[in-house]
Amino acid sequence: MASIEAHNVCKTYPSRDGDVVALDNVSLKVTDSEFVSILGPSGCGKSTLLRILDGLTKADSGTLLMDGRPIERPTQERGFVFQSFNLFPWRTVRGNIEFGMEIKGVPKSERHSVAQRLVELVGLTGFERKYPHELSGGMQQRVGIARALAIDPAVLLMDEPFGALDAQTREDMQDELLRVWAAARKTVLFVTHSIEEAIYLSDRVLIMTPRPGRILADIHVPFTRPRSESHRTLPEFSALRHDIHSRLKAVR
Amino acid sequence: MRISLTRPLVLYPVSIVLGLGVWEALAQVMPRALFAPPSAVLGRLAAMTGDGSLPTALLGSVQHMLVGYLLAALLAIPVGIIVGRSTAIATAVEPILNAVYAIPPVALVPFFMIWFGLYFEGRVALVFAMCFFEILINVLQGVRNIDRGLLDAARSLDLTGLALYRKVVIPAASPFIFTGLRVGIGRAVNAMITAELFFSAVYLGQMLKTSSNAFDIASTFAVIFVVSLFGLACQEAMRLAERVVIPWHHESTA
Amino acid sequence: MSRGKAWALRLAGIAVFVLGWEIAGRIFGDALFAPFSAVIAGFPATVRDYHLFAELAGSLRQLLLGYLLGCIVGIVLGIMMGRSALLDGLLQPWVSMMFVTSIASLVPLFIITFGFGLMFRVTIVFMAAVWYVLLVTYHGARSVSPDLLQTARAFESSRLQTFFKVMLPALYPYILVGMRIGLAHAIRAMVIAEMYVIVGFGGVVYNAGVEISTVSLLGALLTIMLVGVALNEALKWFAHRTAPWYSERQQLSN
Repeated sequence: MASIEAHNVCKTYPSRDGDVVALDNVSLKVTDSEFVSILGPSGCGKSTLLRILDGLTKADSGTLLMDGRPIERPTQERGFVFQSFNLFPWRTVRGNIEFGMEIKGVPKSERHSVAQRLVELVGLTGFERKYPHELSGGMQQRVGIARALAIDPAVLLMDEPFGALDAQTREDMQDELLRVWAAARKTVLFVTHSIEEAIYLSDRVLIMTPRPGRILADIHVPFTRPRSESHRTLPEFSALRHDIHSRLKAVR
Repeated sequence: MRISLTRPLVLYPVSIVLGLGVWEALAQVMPRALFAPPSAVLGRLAAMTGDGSLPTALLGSVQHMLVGYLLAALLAIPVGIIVGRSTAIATAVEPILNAVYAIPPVALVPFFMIWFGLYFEGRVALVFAMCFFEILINVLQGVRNIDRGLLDAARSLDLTGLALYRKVVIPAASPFIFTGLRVGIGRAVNAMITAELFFSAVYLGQMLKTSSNAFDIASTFAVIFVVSLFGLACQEAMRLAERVVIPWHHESTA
Repeated sequence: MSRGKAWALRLAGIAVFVLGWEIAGRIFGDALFAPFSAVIAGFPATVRDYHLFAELAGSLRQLLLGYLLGCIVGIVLGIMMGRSALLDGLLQPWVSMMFVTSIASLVPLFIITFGFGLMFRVTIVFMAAVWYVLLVTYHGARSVSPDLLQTARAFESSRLQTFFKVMLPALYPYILVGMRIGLAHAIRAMVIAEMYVIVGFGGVVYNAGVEISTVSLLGALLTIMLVGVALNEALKWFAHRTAPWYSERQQLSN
């Protein structure tokens, strides 16, 4: 559990038709065990922001802090979950989960027990020896989440993790994620383009708009936890969704 | 605008010049009998072209290459299309095809000598054998891999028989057919030389033998170089032909 | 098509082939094309008279040295060229040139330079195999998913760790394919070299070809056919066992 913050982050990409301002003075702060979504349409720079926060990409200017310390490069204090899973195809489920620990030289027995615990946590018991190509999309992403959790990061960064899944699997995975998060209580920064998903999962929703990428609003989600299907049908849920939707539309 | 130093356009000529330079330097150190500098090779190349011996030999070699290649293509393409359209026949033929393809073609030379003699016919037979299976396998693959959707669309438009072949099957398989023709002509050029070395030596093969036996390394390199260049030219010609005949096809891989 | 039906068709294809061989053999006679039954019946004698299996084993052993050298050089260079644009641009023209050079054309030259013995065979096999191993490895090295490399970075993997834990495993299936294709070319080169100087298994084929009866010749050809297929299938099986996640569908043809 830790805090992660960005102050006045700018990032510009050169392109054939002139520079694209991906991020224009973006600031945010996420604190202990918060679940915050960054919501916006495609191309609004939210993935770029996440990558910058992880240290995968460098910002042009601005300050990035984790627990008050500057973020310079990717470390295992932050875990990253990718939209396209990015599992290593030559490693089994267990092998993928243990990857981060291997990098740090964690002894075999400890790796095995941590991996086993996580396999059970994400509901993949019995699939430890399977290869990614033998798993469905939803299962692969569970491995991705387990792999990120295995390094026991303080902050979990998730880049549209359910974007590649079909609608039904997506909703199942949302519940799975909430269940896993309740058990692990990490600080989570979650990027998505789905308004429902953002509201359903988060404590706060940051609305981002594109070109130039800016944070339009910081909206508090008033619902209690644990969240469930019944929350989706609340009139307040609809109202909130509608509110966010119109705010996004107004900026187009 | 910065031109990156690693752009192929910049590097390729640099590489060639550098390589030739290193080669030339090395050749000064090593005995002439075993190693020829590029300057000598180029000299011999010019001389052999100038006195006509090289062009004549090439023209001679090309004869059995072309005959063998064309025969192989003319047979392999229709056979490949017909066999490929029937999944049953294609599956049945598969093990035999792979087995015969595994025989190094040069091993067939004694066999062809018995059947076709030591001269032109024998050489043509070897060229034929080396190209035929290559082209056939590619055509087969092309026909077998035709997108089912295309065939369904054609059938829903009541397209059958010869028209189906002309309008759908052949166009759809043509990228594979051309790949087969391109790889095949490369093999044909190889076969051209192999034939001249293992049957009675003529033309370019004879030049290779004579110059090697005389320890004239420079001439040997020159002939090898010409053969390689010729092979490359043939393959590029095939690529060009493909772009002309089926301009709609985009090669996604190298 | 069910697996059972596919196998039945394949067996049927083989049966038709053998039957066709038998009939053709009866028509043409031993001197031209000995029938299948005669080849099989005469096989023990063929093996005994020509020390067929001993020669084959010897040839394969000699091939091994050149082949393994080719694999090592091909893999190392392929990786280096694949990951460094500078090296790629520098070496590409030379590699491409070597790639189109026919092995047969190199034989007379190599005999003069290296003699008739081990050195000659090692070099020929090396020159035949290395470019194919290099090419496939090169393509693999270029197409290692940048996403996977970035994922490793996200987990704080050092460059060395990334090389051993991500790059090499990602390259492994490509290396296997390259080695399999390289082996086929190595065998071809070995037979060419051996038939030219009449030693080893190639020599057996040559000598058998001189005989009046084609029984021994066809027996030798049948052997190389089966060995070639067996080796290819063995490598394919090995690849499937050790790299089960990799599907060859999108890669180079046989």
